[in-house]
Amino acid sequence: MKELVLNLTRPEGLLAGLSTGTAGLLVMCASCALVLGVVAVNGMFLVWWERKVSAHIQCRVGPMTTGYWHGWLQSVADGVKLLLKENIVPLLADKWLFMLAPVLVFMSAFMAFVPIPWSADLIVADLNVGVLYIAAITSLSVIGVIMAGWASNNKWSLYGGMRAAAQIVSYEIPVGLALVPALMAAETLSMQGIVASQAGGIWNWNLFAGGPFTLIAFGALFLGSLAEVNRAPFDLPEAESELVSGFHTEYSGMCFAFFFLAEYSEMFIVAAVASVLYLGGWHDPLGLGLVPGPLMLLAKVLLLVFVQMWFRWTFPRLRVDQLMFLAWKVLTPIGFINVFGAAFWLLLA
Amino acid sequence: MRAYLHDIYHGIRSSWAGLRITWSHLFRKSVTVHYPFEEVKVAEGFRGLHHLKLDICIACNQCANACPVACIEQDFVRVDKENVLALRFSIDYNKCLFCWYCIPVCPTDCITMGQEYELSTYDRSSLSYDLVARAEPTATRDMVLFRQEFGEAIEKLREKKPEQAQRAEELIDDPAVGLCGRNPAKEKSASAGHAAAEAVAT
Repeated sequence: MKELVLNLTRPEGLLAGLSTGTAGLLVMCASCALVLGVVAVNGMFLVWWERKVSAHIQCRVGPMTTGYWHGWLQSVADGVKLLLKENIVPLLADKWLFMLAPVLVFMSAFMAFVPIPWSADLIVADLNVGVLYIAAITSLSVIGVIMAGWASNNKWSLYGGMRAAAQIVSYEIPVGLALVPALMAAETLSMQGIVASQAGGIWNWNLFAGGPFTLIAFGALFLGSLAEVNRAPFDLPEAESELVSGFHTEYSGMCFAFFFLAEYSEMFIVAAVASVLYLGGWHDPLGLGLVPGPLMLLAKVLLLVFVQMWFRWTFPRLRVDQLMFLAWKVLTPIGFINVFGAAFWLLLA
Repeated sequence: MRAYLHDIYHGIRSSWAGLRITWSHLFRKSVTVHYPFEEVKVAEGFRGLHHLKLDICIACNQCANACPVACIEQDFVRVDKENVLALRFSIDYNKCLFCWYCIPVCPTDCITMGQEYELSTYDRSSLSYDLVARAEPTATRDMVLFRQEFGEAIEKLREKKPEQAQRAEELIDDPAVGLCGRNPAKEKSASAGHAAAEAVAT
């Protein structure tokens, strides 16, 4: 970022004549717009794709009419509809919190895109605490969820918010523990550094760095991240059949769209984090460097997102106690075993 | 401890089994029909819109009597001992409940139920179908002959029962009844029938 700004403000640069402060501000705005574009396009694409995947799993065809080719414009049409709809605030709702909650949820999903490395140069900001930053920022969204549940003044929404809180305290620990083996193998917290440590083909990926322990850690990370983004089978805060979509029952129009967009962005984020930590980020499996980095990362992310969708349309929702059992009694002990096992493996190897 | 490990093993195994099933469904042919663009095939015994073979209908009114919601209305004029002139055989699909009761009571099996199910209209009044107008093409052609032949019969009827003959003539001239149907495909034959009726009148 700093080099980019300095490059741009050099006499022959694009922004020659501007002070570094102004140029930096411009670059920040541009990267914000870029990230927002990625978030929006990704959200719309994933909504369409999920509808297609779910339809084919259930022997249907999904949207077919809008846009002539397999309904590819369906999400755009839905987006326009949501933009034009009235934003209804219930009479007895806490108005400020009600309006703030979707913004908070969306913001956390939006900010988590910052340290995702797309290629050696393409990254909004290579923070030296990248992984920690993502873990912190994605957890922030649950505050928005609880806020939405509380502000709606609706018992189902409140239940959804409570469940989200219970879920996040259960799942932050296994997810955190599942991140550790990759960090030990890469010996850095910077996302770009983690990717750099996995250069040179599939055998250098963190997935295999700690023998069986990193493999299991990857599985645990995937499961935990499903719960973190409230996806089925861990979609207890939404739970259409029990809580009438839980925390966002009362939301309509663009506020609902924010929740929706945030959910799909978070799916993308957790898949991207898993790809960066364990699947070599933007490196291709053969270590040839022929495929552009962004495409390679996108392919890995979409593969993981597809598995998330596959899970969603296969498994029924877990009960609260089953979720707690899985988090505290299965994934947490396995996480500890993984951390120590991977540590010894890396020491001995 | 053993039960705990068994639970985990069982959980992973059954999850994998579930994932395999959905994966196999992912590439199967879809079973849904893309309805407005594709035709939905209905079963053989489907109870759709009624069809009337007008040439064998004897105007016995049995179907109208059997109808539990009284949606069938017949308007026939008996011309002589053997022959009747069918002017209107309407079924009001606002009322019809597709119960099939009108079918078995018919002594000549002239009324049947077909495969059509697309009934939506913009107006309730257009749900009242005239089966004389919708009658099968051969039957409609027969109706034209029927009317030509019975021009003379009406004249005979005028001597015995002038009121009925008068009514038959009125109905034949009325463009709203008889072959003047709602189905545009039948309009040609309908106007032909009307022309025949006019020819009879002159």
